[in-house]
Amino acid sequence: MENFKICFMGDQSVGKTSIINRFIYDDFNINSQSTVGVDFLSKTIFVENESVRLHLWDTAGQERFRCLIPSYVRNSSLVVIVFDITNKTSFKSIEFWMDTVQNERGDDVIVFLVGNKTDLEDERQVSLEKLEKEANKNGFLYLETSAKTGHNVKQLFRKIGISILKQNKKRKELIKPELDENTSLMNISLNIDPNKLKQKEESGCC
Amino acid sequence: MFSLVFEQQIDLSLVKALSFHGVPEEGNFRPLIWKLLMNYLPPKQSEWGKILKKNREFYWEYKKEMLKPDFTEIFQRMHFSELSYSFDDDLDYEKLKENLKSSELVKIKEERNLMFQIYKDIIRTRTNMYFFKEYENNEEYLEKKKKFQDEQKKHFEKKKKEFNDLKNQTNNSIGKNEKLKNEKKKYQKDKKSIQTNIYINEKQQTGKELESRKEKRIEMKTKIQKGNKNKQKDVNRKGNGKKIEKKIQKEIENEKGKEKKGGRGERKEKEKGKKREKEIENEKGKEKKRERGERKGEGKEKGKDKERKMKTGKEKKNEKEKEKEKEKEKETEKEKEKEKEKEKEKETKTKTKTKKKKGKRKAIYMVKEGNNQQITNRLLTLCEILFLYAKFNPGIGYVQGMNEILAPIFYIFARDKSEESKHYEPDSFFCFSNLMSEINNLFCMDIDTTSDGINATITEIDKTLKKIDYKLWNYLVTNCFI
Repeated sequence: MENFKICFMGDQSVGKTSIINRFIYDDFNINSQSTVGVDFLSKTIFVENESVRLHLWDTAGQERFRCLIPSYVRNSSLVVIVFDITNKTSFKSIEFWMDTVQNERGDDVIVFLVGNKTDLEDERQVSLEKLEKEANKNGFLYLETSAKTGHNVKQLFRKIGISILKQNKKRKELIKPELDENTSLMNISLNIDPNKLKQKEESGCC
Repeated sequence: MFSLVFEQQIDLSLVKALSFHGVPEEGNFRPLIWKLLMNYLPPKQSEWGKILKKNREFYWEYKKEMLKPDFTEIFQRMHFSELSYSFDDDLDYEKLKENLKSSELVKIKEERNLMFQIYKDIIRTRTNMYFFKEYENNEEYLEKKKKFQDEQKKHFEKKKKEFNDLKNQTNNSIGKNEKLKNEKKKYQKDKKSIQTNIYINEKQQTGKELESRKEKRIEMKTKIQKGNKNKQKDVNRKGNGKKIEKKIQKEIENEKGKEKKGGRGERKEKEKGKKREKEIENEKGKEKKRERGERKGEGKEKGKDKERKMKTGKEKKNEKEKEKEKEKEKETEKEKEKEKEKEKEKETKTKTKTKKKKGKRKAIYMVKEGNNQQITNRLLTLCEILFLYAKFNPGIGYVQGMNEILAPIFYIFARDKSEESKHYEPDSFFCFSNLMSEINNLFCMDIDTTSDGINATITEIDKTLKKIDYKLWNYLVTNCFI
């Protein structure tokens, strides 16, 4: 069984933890408190006759915790950016989250864009046209969910599982050439300054 | 390698390859390169200033929010109570009980539990290194310790009075049957009842065997206070004549060790004249006696008064009394057990509490023996960092072994010779949390059994070792039972 790390990001009170709680406990809490730091939960799902274990890192949306998040993005194989349909500012800050992802991983990661709170369709402030533009621009996979009613939440995680397995297969095919690159890297480092390496040995190491 | 650090855009893969065999200590490059490798500093040198400022400000904000003002005091209290710490005994905790709701109490209990776990591990980290042993403001520390211990004594005395009241009520019911017996016997029984009260009270503090012997000592010390000149002889006789178990001896040694350390500090402050050394030694001796007297005097106010009356006339016949007391105490121990059984039936609620406490203290006692050192400001900051990390990562929390990972990072950053050593606290916090985010899997309960968990990685190491170095693997398997 393979393990994958998934990082949830997005603005404050957008519904990251409630999506995860709906997925794992099939439960919704109206009075849920804001998360502190980074929380962790895990669950196994069955996709295409394979069992996949998902490690979900639920980050805090508040600004004061943002300096803790990048290190979790670095180690995760898939990123989910959540925003609130009824809140324009949360939609605008997608760019900020995208920047942090690209700083850490470049274009190496799969990114899911999730619009939460579809149960409040009447108060929608982000039009579908804008969403299509955004998704096409960056190549996101887009879904709309509602943690309160449970709409689309299971499908979201099934899609996550499928896309992660695809990526994993691609990587396995690429492993052999990568190994050659690594060996060449070591040679380069040795060629650059063999004298200093000797000095290190003399001076002693930690 | 060092030239790499001064480039505007640092090539991280090169730095990794070069520092694979360790970073040399010369030139003060180690902290910088560690920060680079732990992704605290980005490869672009122009961004360093901004990020460092931001993170450091954030850290102090975290600290203000998450840590209550009495945070360090609680750790010190844990240290002063020498691991007999329990939440109910904590003085502030009882004050809080009156004002808070049950849900808030649960939170506070969890926090205290976390802090106590961290404290137990922190005290055992790198005890060999002078860096973590150092302490500042020696006199202030001792004053605090004395204050706290005095408060604790008062607290325990209160508790003992409550216990005594309860038990006098129970004893009265038993006493009706015993009215027929002689007055002398009654007098003895009063003594016994008090002793049993003390006995049960002190279970919460220490083991059973310690208590009966402490009682003996207290009696002896009351005598000693009366006869000034014969103090030392009496102490020796008591120490030798009564078969004190090894545990008690160890405790005494610990006390002596602490006092000696304190004495060394005093010596440094004062000059090393021979006369002054003698004075210090005299002071030490007095302090030892005082501390013993205080400890033994904790629970036995009423007992003391009666015992004093008994013994004022019999100072000259000390030795005979000792023998008698021993016999009495043997008898009382048997009777105590009977009385306990009766009391247990009546006070089922109190039993459950004491049982829980027993379990905790057995585990704690193992740590107690090796713990002579003072808790330093540096150890306290380690506690703070670990506490913050556990708060910000509720999915993982605090796990044993994190202290060993944090300690070297902290050590390197605190000994940085450049100006950045001022900010060693936030730097080590962020580096630690960055590093932990990469090795999270090894500290997470849920993942333990999966292919990423610690069990799987250990078996992997086992396999690779077998391939690479069969001799070493064979030695480890045969001798170390891996």
